[in-house]
Order: sequence, then structure tokens, then C-alpha cells
Amino acid sequence: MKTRIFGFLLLVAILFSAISTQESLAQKSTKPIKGQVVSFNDLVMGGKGTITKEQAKDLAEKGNPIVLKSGKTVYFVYNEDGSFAGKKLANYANNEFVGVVGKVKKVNGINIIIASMIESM
Amino acid sequence: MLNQIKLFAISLFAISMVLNSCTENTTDPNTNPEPKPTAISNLVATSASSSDVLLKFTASPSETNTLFKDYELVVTPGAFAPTTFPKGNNIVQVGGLQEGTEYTFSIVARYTNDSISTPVSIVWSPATRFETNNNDEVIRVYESSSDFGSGLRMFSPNDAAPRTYKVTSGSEWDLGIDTRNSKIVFGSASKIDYNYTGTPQATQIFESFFEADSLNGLFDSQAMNAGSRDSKFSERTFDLTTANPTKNYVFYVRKYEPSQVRYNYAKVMMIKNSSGVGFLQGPSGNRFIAFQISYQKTPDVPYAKVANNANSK
Repeated sequence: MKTRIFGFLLLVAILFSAISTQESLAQKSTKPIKGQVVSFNDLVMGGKGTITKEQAKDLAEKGNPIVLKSGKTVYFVYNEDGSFAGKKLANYANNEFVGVVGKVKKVNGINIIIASMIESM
Repeated sequence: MLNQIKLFAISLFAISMVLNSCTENTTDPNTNPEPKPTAISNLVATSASSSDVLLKFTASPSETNTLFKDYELVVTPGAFAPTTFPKGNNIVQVGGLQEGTEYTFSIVARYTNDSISTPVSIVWSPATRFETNNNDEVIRVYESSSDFGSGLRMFSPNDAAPRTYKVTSGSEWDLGIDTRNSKIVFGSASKIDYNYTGTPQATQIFESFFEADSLNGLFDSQAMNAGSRDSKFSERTFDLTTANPTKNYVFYVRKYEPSQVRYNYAKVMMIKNSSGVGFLQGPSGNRFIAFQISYQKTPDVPYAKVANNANSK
């Protein structure tokens, strides 16, 4: 009986450890999502969304969403404090590619990145 | 005979006139000269921005004299009116300058009796200061294992700012970091063994680096290439693996920009990790070293020259 209990506890411990490790790895992913900084409005209107830094900053200042397009996926990028990171993202619009490191979520079908780091690539 | 007498008389008159004028020139009627202030010393400078230079000096010992009035600063060339400042100020910021122009800054101490000290001068040029990169963010160069760039171009003409690059843009690199094999190596990109696409730009670094709290805190009295300094620049790396800095490190760097045949000079400051040891900071996998750069956009202006009459060190 003692051996069975010990075996059960050991199994639980191993499972818990594995789950914790997986969660930890997911949270600590250092791989950036690589994409381009684009105008969401332009995408919606059928354009490619391509913008210069100055255009992006101007649009962001006026409240228009600046987003990250990676392949065919569009991500809305947020800062870790919960604020929308469109203005920050706008500064990177002149780069061919931008990488965003952070937690990826899908909220009501919308792709979200809680960015811990944004950098040109 | 009469003519001879006349000639003799004229000669006597001429000689007496000459003697009189000589006497006037060699005699100092002032047997008790006005007291004169002692000059400042150790005049040094640094570039604060593309339009501003900071000057620092050791105050005149005459500041304690009751006759002490103030200091006067003269800047040439340009239409700068002489400016004065009171005692107690040994750091002066001069604005309204043009990057690339070598200005002579001369300071004298003045007494209320209108006597002035010997002027002390230094020649200096302002230089552009970069605290952010082409993305208006902190200038960061990432560890080798990161997907972000480990290379730095001090001044990207297209961006008018510093820019970080990956090895796939190797031809854009001036400087780089290498954190492979548990080391931290910083230096000329050409001396870092990455599998570049393209060839990094030949960038030389002075053999010594300097510790400073900020670029504004690193004053100098001589040009970056003055005297024997010139031969001590080369493409090189520094192994900073065991560095435990108490301050930031400043490297003197120079390179030929594309199509140029004269060096552009820069001071590149590596910022120490404020919350840990060494220079690397940030999350594991994307650790980075932050930099600030003072870059002289005009070729062949190594910031400073000491004027002939300067007595700074």
C-alpha cells in the first residue's frame, strides 16, 4: 500500500513538474514574431498597409491602429501595462522587418501580442 | 664749410631725436604695475551636442583676491560676442555652434582694475549625440544567440541615426558583440568571426578605453588622434567577459564612411548594467548591451586640438 501511495505521489509530482516546465517555457519564449509594421485601416481598405515611419507616427497620433503583419496574420500589439503599443510600433515602420517578443493570445478571434520587447530585424 | 656745419647740425638733431624716441620706448614709467590675475589651468572640453560644447577648467587662484571681477570667454571664428561669467563656475556650456567647425575657446580672468590674465585656449568642435537609434529607442546590440542584431552601425546615413544589424547585413556593421562560448567580446566587426553576408566596414578603436558616468563627463584636452594616439588606433576587440565596471566604458572609434578618404571620429559609450554585473542586461535569450554615441559627422575633425598658448594638460 505504501509503495502504491508513494508511486502515485511520484507520478503527480512528475506530471506537475512537466506542466510547470511547459508553462514556464511558453512564458519565457524569446523567439520574436517577425513581421512588418502596417496600417490596419489600409489593410481593411484592401491595401498592403505599407507605411513610412512618419506616416505611421501621424496615424498613431490620430488614433488609427498600427499593427504587426506576420505572413497572413495580423497582430494587435499591446504593452505589458495593458496599453495599446501602436505608437511604439509606429517608430519601427521604416524597418523591413520587426520582431516582437511577448505572450501571444487570441481574444474573441483577435490576435494579440503582449510585447516585452520590440526590435528591428 | 657752411654746408658742412649745416649738415653736422642736422645730423646732431636727428641723432638726438632718435635717442629721445629710444629712451621713451625703453623706459617703464610704471614702477608699481597693476596687479594681474593668474590664468586658469587644465582647460578641457567635450562635445555635448551638434551645437554645444562643454568647457571645464581649474579656477584661477586669483578668485580669492578682492580685485577679482569675472572670467571672459572669447569664441572664434563666428560672430560671437565675448561672454563673461562669475567665479565659482568651472564648467561652461557654449551653444550656437556649428558641427565640424573647429572653434577656439579662450578664457581670461579679469580684475576690476581692467587687468587680465594670460588667455588659455582650446580648440574643439561640437558633435552629434545619439542616445536613441533609428527607431527612437535605446541603442541596443544583442547577444549572439538572439534573433536580433549583434552589430552596430554608429551612423546610418539613410536613417541619420545609429542602427543595429544582423549578420545578414554584415556590410553595414562597424562594431559588434560576440557572446558565444560564454564570453563577452566587443570590438571592430571585422575582427569578430561571424559568418557575415558581405564584409563589415573597417572600423578602428583606440587601444585604451575610458571610464565615465556619461559622455558629458568625459573631458579631454587633446584631439583623439593627437601625437602618438594616432598610431594606437586599429581594428581590434576587447574581451569584457570578466569586466565588473563601476562606470560606463567609452571607446574612441574612427572609420572611413563609404566614399570618404578621411576618418569620421566617434565616442562610443557602453552602458553598464545598472542592476547587475557587467554590461549585458535584459531577458535571457535577448540580452543586450546599451550604447550612447557621440559622432562627428564631418570627416577629419577629431573633436579637439590644443592651441599653442594653452597650458591645459
